[in-house]
Amino acid sequence: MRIERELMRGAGPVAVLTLLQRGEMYGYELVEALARHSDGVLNMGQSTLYPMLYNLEAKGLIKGQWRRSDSGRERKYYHLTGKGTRRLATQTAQWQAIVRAMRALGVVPEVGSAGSALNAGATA
Amino acid sequence: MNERSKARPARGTSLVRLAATTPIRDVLRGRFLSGRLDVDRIVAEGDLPDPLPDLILRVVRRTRLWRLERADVARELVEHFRDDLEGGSSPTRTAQAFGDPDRAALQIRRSRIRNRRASSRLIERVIAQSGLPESLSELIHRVVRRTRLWRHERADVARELVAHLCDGLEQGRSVEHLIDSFGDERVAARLIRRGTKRKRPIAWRAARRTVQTTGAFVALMLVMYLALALRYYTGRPKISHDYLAQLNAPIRAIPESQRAWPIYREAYLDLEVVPDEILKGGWYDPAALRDPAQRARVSAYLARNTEAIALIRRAASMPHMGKVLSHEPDAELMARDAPEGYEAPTAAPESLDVSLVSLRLPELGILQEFARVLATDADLAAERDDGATVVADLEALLGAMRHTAEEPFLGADMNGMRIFLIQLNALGAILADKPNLLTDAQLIALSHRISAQRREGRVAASLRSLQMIFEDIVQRVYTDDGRGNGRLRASGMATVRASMGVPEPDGSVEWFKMTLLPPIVSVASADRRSALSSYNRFVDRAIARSQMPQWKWTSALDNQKMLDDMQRVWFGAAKAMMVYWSMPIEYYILASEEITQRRDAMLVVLALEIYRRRHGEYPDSLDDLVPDLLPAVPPDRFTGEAIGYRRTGDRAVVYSVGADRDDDGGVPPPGKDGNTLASIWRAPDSSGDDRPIPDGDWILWPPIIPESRAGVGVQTGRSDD
Repeated sequence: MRIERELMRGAGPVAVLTLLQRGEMYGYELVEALARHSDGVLNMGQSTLYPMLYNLEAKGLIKGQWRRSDSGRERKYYHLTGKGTRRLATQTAQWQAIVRAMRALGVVPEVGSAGSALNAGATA
Repeated sequence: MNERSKARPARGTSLVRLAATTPIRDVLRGRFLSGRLDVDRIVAEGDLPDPLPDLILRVVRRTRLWRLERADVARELVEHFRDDLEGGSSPTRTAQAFGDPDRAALQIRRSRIRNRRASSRLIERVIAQSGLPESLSELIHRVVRRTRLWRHERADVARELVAHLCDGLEQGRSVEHLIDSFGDERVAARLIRRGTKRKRPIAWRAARRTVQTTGAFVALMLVMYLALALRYYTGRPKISHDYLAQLNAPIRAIPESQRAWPIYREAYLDLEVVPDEILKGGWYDPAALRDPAQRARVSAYLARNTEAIALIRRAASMPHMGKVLSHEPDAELMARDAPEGYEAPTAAPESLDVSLVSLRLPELGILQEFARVLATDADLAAERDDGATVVADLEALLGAMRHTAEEPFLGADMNGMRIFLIQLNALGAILADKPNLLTDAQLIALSHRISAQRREGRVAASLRSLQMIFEDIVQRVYTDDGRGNGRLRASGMATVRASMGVPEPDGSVEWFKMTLLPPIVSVASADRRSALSSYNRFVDRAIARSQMPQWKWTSALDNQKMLDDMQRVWFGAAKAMMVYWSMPIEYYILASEEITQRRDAMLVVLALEIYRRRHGEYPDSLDDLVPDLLPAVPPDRFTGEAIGYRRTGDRAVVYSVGADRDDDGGVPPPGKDGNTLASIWRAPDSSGDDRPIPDGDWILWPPIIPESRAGVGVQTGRSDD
């Protein structure tokens, strides 16, 4: 499923920050992790990821550092800054509120339920 | 770097030097006075013993490298020598071991220049060393090139993309897959550029934003200016009302048989050129014609022109002037007056040339000449005791005055007042010189004629006509939006400038003022509606003043306030135009008051003369003239009280208290011009007028003359001392 650009613009940074909360990662690793954890929904190419990383870096939410890897090649590893951690907490709360609202509207199904709340109400 | 150098710059380092040796990169990062390029400072802070500092400075200077590179070299040398000294070497040995400084400088220079070239190929090197397949290398090249970032930023991006693609290959992805999953190159380059630029130093971003804002502001100003210029240079005035036709309509309705102008014109063409003796003073100062030879010449002139003078008298007796107002020159009149070789302009008249401002009114000047001829003729007729001719001339003067003032212009009324003044002066002089010349009936008839010359409403009418003239000018210089408003535009400004004789721009400053500046200034200048209302307000104030007798005025007509008003809303030639059409107003109102005072005085004099004939002497008081000879004693225009009168023996003096508003018993101020100065109205509060007020009265009759003829006139009462 391809996510519209506007939605990706809001979800992508939160997703990246969430991944970096677990530990530092380099670009390719992030692309792979995003694709893997989101069943390909947040699959993004370099043309999307790297500008996003630079933006997050410019905002001081993450910081990149060149380091030589075990294979001897240089990679730029990104990690979350203090500011990034706080921003992630805020945005996570916001996303949760959105999901709750969407769930109440039946856009997002209840965990474990077969249908939406609206559908349930309609059949009662 | 030791503690001292960290804390402060080296001694003697000025702020200017610090600023000059701070790289722009540091400034953009907010380190405004880093002084990082100051080689002297770097060496001084190295705290090296002699001769090492001099050696470093010499080598660095001879490298002839860029400032940043020289500073780097200096730092490296300082560190190198310090290491050497810490290793136990002496300064001298260290210097000797360094070798020839010139040779070292040359080698350093070559090495650094090689580094420069290598640096410029950094991106290529990063990509080449990655070992990526050509298609991926090309992809990175294209994207990086398209970012148009700074070199080190591009290198950074290239390294990261290389690392990413290498990781992809390591993970077993195919080249095609990596290219396919990369996304749109152009979008990628644009987004990378945008993201990377956000990471740039805040000072750089602030500077960039400032430049962008300034550029946008300048562009906006330019667009606005172009819009203003377009508006200013394209709008054209629209003449919608023919004021001339409006004025001429009643004139054209006058039957030919009632028109004076054709007869005046014929008389003028018949009349010989009026000699200077008549034009310059003889009419108001009989003493000026005392010289027998002069009087003989004037007398001969009048005798030669008897027929023309008779025509003037006949014209003056006609009911109306009846001259159709026109811009067309009267070729016959011009031929009579024009100097030899003069050719009338043949160019087609434009805009203001055909406005009310530019009407040709030769009749005003012609009737002025006639008035002087008639007054002189009356004076000479009085000398030969020809009372009938005197009365005929005096009555003709009143007719000429009436005809002149019939034209609805302020200037025409001013000319009419001048003719009336000539008539009053002539009659005053004759009554003083030959009191028994005219019969009682003639005196009474003259009294009635003069009494009929009332000025109530005349000033207001003239000022309204002035408004009409101004409206006519405005419609020729302003555009018309159809709702009574409009703007001053280039064509209108050119018209105003041309009409006021403003020369074409000469020099670049003048050109700027006349060409580039007006579109901007026109925004602040008065629009059509406010120009008219501003002018009309002033005229309304003037009319209100004219409807109040002079003795009730408390201050001068506030011209300055009006000019200040205009200063805010007018500019350049337009303002000058308005000032030009406002300045004569106060003088005109004062002149109207003066002629009223003189007329009232003459009525008193005529009544006094009749009283004297009836009673053998002048009365003790002017009250004795009322009501048989005067309906009431006229007021002194300076105070509102009764006009002044003094009788000494068989002589009488009629006077106003004058500018000092103090009754001096009919004695004028000293000096040749004392009586004239006393006649000039001054505001009681003397606002805006520093001139001293003369002490004395304004003598209205008998005439004040510098050298009185025997028995005539009032000698100035005091000496000049």
